Amino acid sequence: MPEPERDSGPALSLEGVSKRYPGTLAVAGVDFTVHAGEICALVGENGAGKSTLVKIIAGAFDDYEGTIRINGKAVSLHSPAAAKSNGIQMIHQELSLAPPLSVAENILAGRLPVRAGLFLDERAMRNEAARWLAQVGLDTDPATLVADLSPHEAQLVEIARALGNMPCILVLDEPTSSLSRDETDRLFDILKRLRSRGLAMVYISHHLPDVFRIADRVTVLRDGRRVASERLEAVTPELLVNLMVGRDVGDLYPRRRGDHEEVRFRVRGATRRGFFREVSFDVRAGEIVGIGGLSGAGRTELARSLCGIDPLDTGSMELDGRDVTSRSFPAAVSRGVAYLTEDRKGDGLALRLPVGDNVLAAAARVCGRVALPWRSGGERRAASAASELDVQPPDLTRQTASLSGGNQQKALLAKWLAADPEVLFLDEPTRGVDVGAKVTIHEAIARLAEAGKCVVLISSDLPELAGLANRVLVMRRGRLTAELSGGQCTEEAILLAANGQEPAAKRERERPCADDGPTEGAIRGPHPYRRERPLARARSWLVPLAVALAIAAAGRVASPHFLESDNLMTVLQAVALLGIVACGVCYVTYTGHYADLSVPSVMAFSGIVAVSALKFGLVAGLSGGLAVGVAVGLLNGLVIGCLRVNPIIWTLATGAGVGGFIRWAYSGTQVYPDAGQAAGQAFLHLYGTRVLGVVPMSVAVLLAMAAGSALLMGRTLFGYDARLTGSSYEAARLSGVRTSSVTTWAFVLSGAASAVGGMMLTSLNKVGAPYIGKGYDFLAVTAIVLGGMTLAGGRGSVPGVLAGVLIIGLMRNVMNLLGWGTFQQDIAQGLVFISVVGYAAMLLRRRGQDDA
Amino acid sequence: MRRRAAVVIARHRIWALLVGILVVMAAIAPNFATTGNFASILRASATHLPAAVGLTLVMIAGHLDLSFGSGMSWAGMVAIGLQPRLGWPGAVAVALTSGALLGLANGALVTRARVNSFIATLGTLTVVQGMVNIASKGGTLAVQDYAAGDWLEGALLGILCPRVVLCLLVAAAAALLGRTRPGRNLLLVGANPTTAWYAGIGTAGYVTAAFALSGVLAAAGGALFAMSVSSANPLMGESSLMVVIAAVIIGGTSMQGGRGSVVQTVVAVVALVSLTNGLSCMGARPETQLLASGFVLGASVLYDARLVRAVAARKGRRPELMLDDWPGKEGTR
Repeated sequence: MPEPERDSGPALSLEGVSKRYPGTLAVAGVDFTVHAGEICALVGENGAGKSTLVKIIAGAFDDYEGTIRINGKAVSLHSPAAAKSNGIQMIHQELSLAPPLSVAENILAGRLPVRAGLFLDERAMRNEAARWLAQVGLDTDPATLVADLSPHEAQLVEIARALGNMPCILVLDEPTSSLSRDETDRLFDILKRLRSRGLAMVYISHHLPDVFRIADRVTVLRDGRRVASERLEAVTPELLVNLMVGRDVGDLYPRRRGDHEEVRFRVRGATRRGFFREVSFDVRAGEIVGIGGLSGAGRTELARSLCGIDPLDTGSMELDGRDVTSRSFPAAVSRGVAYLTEDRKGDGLALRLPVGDNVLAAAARVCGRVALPWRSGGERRAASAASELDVQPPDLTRQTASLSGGNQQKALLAKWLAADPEVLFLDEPTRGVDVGAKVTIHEAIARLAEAGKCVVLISSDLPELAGLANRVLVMRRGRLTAELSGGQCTEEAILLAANGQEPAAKRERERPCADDGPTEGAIRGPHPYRRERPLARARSWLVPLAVALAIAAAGRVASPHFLESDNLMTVLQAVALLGIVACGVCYVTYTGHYADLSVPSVMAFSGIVAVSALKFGLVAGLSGGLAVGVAVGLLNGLVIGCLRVNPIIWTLATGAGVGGFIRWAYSGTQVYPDAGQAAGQAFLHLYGTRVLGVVPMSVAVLLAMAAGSALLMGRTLFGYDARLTGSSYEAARLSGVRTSSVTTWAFVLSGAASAVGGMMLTSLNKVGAPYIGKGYDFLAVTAIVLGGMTLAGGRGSVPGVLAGVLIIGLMRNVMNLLGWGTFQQDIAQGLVFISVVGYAAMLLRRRGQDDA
Repeated sequence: MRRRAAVVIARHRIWALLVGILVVMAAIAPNFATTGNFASILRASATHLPAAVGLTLVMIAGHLDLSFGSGMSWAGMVAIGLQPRLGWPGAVAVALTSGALLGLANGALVTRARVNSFIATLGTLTVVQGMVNIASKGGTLAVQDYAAGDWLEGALLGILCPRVVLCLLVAAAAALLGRTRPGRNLLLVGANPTTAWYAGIGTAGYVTAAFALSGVLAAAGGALFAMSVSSANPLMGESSLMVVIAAVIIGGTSMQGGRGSVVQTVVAVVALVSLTNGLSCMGARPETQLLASGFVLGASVLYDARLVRAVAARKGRRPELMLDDWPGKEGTR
């Protein structure tokens, strides 16, 4: 590892470094240097290229341009291992630790000590881990699992891990964004100590006060280029903001009205054991009430419990005199109480969906009942909310993940503006957001309040609290300990109250931050525009349909009989049953629950029950069979939806249970429909009947079910909620979707479709038997995936599923005409499946979108 | 302290399950607690053991392998089919190699083509099962050389026979992996691939290795079983599917990766096999095997869910806010 040399050249220097993404230049010809024993801050708006630049330094890319030198020597940082061997370590913004593993194993990741070259040396591991834990001041047993640590402790572990690799250059990406004041102080102590030992550090932050506290030099990036690099004494916050944004920035905090009328929203005695106690407060119409406090004081927990997301032990809420205490989030939203989450990527937005779907996610339940929200003015609502917040780019069909952080946050706020709640809890609404977006968001919040709504603002950003809120309540250790209003409401007072000290104590004035100081004319900063190829707007079923047509063409070449109507009808009939089952099972995949492995058993059981119940008539028989499917589906859905059990494992278990049950109950015998009775006759002929004399029953049922299923998925609120749930379960839940209910219905539909398919198959075989439906679970997944649905959920359509079914049918038919045996056909089908899926996955990856 | 104990018990609940099953069956099933019966329990477990160990490794790496069933059948076909020409050592070598190739194919699909492992192994499962069916010509293959089978099934030390010993040795080797650096690296790769990558660990290599090992192990299990009965049945692997997956899950391996134990998988296999064996001692039909496995799997999963919810409910609570008196407290506790 290279030794840190104090007085000779820079420890790290980048010369003309550039990095391209498909369609955009993220970093363009940047020169950047850091010296040993120096902390160099890297600032810029979201999308300016900061994260990309440090990722280059950390070795995440193998295709950057330009030269990088360490202590004057040119190196190539084409992999994390190369960066590591050159003495570079990075502390990521999103903690990258392994929760199931212990602290020691995380600290020593990649360099576990071994004896005899192979076996772990547990004692050495413990000792070394303890050594690094002491360096960062964390007093924890090294054997503790990371999953049991608090976010602050986890970050210290991450720092310990970086330090343990003895770096000369340390990169920190937004290290304080989720830290409290105390924790930030402790982190800065560590950094100062490292600096005095000669470590070179790169520090990325949005939070200018922190930059002024800790950094020696600052480099400003804008639109991928370096615009300035100065010593910190030579700059002011206003100058930095100007450089970042490119123009003057005005008042960050809009003028707030002081007088307010009557109390609209009352909270009394809110308590949740272990989180907060006896919290009571009022909010007046048009008032913004801030809630300040250290991290862990219970603010987020309070908001979540009041909004029904987490349980509330006691307490009541009143809005305009009505009781709005809610036990679930959908109930709260329907009563006009909403919550904007602090974790926009995790449970705020479904990143894989277009922006428009996200913006509409909460309002959909408010505007539409059954009919598709887009039809009933939803599209207009979404567009107006998005433009009110100036979400860039304005194209609502772009994938949300392609937006910058600031725009994502604005989209999240737009979601709740569109839903028009009466009370809105905002949790860290401008965390990790650039200056320009911050201004827009603050103005929107102020407008919300002007319109008479009640706004509760939870924030760790003291200037934001002091500047935006009319009153600030301070929480400490789960209780409301202070209320500050008017002149008392200053940053220092909030901070002191949060720490439990009296405001009368004298404290040294902090350096002013960019958020102070008015200049004329609030101007919105430019928003970084990442040009990306838009998501395929073409219907997703066009590609599978094209594949099916291609196979049909091949079939025509293979045999002149292929396109004869008899043959085509054979094809349809052969796969009709698969199609019937797939129309329902696809909902399981669509909502992100992978697959339903209980399908074969349900098919068999439905058939057997139907035949057994025929003695009470045809209708009784069919209803009995259907009831079986619905019942098993209900069991699956409730367990998976409410208990969040793994769907593959659970449906495997229920499939085995049901399968075993029917084999045991019917002790290997088969159940025959009684041909002597009318009902039995009708059932036996069910499959063979031709509707309108031409269309086989199975095909007719398939078409009917497909039509119904497509309508459900594409045109109803349920279908929309299903797509949200499949794209991001958490984001759906926090938009007010009853995700457990959506899941349950998905499995009920799957069970019902399996029942219908099973009964038709039983009619075809003229006997009810346990082996009926064998293989349909995997075959259905094959068809669904071939048709364009991804296992991750939230994508695909019913026509696509039909196309997938058709592909299988046509393939089989062509192979039959070519004279191939069944087993050869199996192999060919498997190979085609692998090829198609592999190719699709590679295509998606090249487009920069990863799936499943 | 009490909570620590509860967590430890929950983690090792599979032992409790095994003991419970053995005790109950010994009490109510006739002829259960005899040496002969224990020997056959071990033999039946040995059939599933290698594949279960392999699946554990793949799941620790964060993936799923559905193709092991057909991999077992294929290895059995190869071993029996090639024995006349290559002798046992040669036939088994080819069988193991084909297992490795299957594993490498799975690994490439998952790491290079970035296909979801459920889908990828579903595809390879279909292909290999087709190959098995073709090779078997729809029936069962058989050999005339019964010597190897007799030896494999013969008595060694009381209830053990060479096949059981071999399988246990394999399992032991895999368990030891957990104490080596590569083994712990695999855990890290499954727990958080990004962390592993930034730590300089070759994640793709580890995942592919896990799949390859799984392929080889499944092939070993299939080949050994085919040798011991001197015949190869195309449906052999399929009957293992349920038991193996159930055992790995019940044994505590998480589908998300980063957590799992070969030892506990072995215990779970023995527990499940003991259950079905006991049921058949009581006169139940073979179908009950399916029912029993499904039931135990379902119960285990529900129990886990309860545990997770209990832990999550307790997480983040401040102790000082738990102890005070608060209105409404009287009703709880």
